[in-house]
Amino acid sequence: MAAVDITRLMNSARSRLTGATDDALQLELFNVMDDFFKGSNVWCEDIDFTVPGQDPANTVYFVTSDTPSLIDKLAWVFEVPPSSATSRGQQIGAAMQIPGEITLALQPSSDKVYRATLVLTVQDPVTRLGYVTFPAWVLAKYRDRILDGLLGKMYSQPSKPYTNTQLSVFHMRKFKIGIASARVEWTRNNTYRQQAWRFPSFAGGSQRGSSGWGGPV
Amino acid sequence: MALETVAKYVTAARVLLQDTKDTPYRYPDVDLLNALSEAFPEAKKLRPDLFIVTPLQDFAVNDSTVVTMDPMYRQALVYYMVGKMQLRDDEETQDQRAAAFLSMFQAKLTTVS
Repeated sequence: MAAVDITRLMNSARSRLTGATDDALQLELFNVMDDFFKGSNVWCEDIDFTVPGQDPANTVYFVTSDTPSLIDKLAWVFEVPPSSATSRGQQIGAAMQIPGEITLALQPSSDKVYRATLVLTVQDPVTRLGYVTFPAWVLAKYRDRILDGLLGKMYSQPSKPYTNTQLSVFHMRKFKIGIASARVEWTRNNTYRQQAWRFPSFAGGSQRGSSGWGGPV
Repeated sequence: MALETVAKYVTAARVLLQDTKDTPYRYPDVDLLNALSEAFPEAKKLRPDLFIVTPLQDFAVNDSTVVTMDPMYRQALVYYMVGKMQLRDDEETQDQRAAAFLSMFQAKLTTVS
């Protein structure tokens, strides 16, 4: 994460929270980001995993994230297509009862490579300076919403110089609205006034080009 | 920066106690150090967030040992030390003054004052 971004966020919070310590701000920032990612699903990662043919039913396939993060949800699983011209193969029915452990609805009869899209959230350890780690673009895009969450949680702490129930309710409401709108943006894949999916080019009729990306199911 | 070390806390407390001249002092170092040590759990009771990373400290010697406390709240510890000294039953002590300092300790930690 860019140091300038987090410094701006912290300074914005410090100027509104008289007497707040950086340790308390960092602790609450972790909680805010956890709430934000679990509610909005905006932090995703694609993980490929190989499924040998003839595996018995309910075989567990373990997946882990490459980044320092915690797996929160399984968004979807697609077959990795043999051709690079296609972004996705067919959708695969799958479940993840325990985070990181995927089971399939139907086992394939031959070896396949599947691509699971995982929804991630923050985890320990934090950085050496005590800051939670997450993709830099999240703070750049959702700075105001994250600040609202941080202020709302700090104002709600009892018996502090900065305790303020009214402002806590105000900022937490804005934060919850921010999470909801981020989730909607995610389902639309950050496209303006469009659904997240497109018809593939062979279906024809598209006047917007034929390079559909796929997207949430 | 003021109030970095144990010695600076003791000196600051003695100023408010008007106990800066002559030795032996009216209030011995060991009593002031005990008061400073006792201030930490009292502060943690009011403001646990101040001790998320910082440990509770205990002091036995008036020296240059660093007192780890957020600079915004260091004065509160001095008020606690003075308040504790003023609680003593001697001719120089006023109960009101002791209560005032202990209240200021609490106010410094929990309000914008």
